[in-house]
Amino acid sequence: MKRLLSLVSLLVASASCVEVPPSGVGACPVPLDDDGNLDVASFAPVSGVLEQRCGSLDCHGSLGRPMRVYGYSGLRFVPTYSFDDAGQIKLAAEATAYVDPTVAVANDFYPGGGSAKTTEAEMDQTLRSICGMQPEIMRQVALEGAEPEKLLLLSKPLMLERHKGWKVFERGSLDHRCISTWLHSQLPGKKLDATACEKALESP
Amino acid sequence: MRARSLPLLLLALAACGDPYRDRLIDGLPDEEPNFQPGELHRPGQPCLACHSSYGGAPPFAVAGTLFTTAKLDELPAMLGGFTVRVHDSEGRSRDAVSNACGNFFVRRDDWDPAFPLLVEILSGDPTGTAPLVPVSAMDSRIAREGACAGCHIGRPSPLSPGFVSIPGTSPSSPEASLPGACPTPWLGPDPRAPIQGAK
Repeated sequence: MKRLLSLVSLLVASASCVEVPPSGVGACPVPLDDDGNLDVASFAPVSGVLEQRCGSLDCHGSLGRPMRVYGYSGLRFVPTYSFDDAGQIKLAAEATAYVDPTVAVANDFYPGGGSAKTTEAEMDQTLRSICGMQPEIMRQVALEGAEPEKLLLLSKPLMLERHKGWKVFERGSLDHRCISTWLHSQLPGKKLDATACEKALESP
Repeated sequence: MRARSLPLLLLALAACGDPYRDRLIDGLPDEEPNFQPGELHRPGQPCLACHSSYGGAPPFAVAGTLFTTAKLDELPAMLGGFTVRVHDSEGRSRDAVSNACGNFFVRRDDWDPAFPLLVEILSGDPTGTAPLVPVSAMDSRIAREGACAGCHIGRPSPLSPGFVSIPGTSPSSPEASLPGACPTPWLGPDPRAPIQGAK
């Protein structure tokens, strides 16, 4: 009887779980588009705040960081491969530009920060970095409603634990509100406070 | 007993090096024979690699070199006479004026700023009475790196916005653009060298 009860409980629990996106990212507080991919554009307001507060080249805009932030004023993402019409993998021209500046000039690729807006490919990379850093805790926060501050993404800049970049913003600040509401934005009845994100960017 | 402790102590001291900084310093070119350490030497290089408590040279809080261009297909010239104004997080600011070879610096003994920093560049005579005119400002904050070339590494790449520059300017001092007047600016690491950690 006990076993039967456990089985029923397990089935009920499984059925109530939110489906993880089929994007290969795992739990991530971003909706899916019609093709089942992450709707990266919806992340843009949050990306702007992360780029400004965390993504300078001397902090998380660095390839040496587990949490990487790509974007306009810092690290730029260069795809190294793409697919041709036949679905065959090929080296992207941008990859050649990585090691040969003359190719970058000839093809008008963005050569560095400050010269082109943040691309969707860059936001996708930032998302993968953020959501892949603590996947179990991200699942608890984004899909099950745990406190957003459980994630290093917030506990570090709030200085709830040691952070080399020290305290980046205060609890209750616009930046905090932007990121914490985003982390809960896929829960029923919750949404991103896009105004907080927008206003946070008004302060340098 | 003391003899036993000595090798351990030596081992501990040897382990105090910073491989990241050592590699950075080792990767810089040698001093040019005509420009021994001084205010004009090593334009475009990450000053705080050596001008820090680790590097041994007099420590700087902020330092860099100003150029005329950051474009890939233009040769940069060093730009003197501009004022670099650094604002820290406690509302304080300091000015440094770029010299004939574009170098500018703030000594740490004079100012220990609270990061992050914001930076703007102004034109005009810094010794005159007319107010200086802002000509450029950084889009992003400086979170911790006092050496401009720590991020503005040589020419532009996905890892660098390129030299600190004021586009559309020409060297203010004609003498500075004469051959031999300034050291050859460092153009950054060889772009064809493999980038560690690159995808």
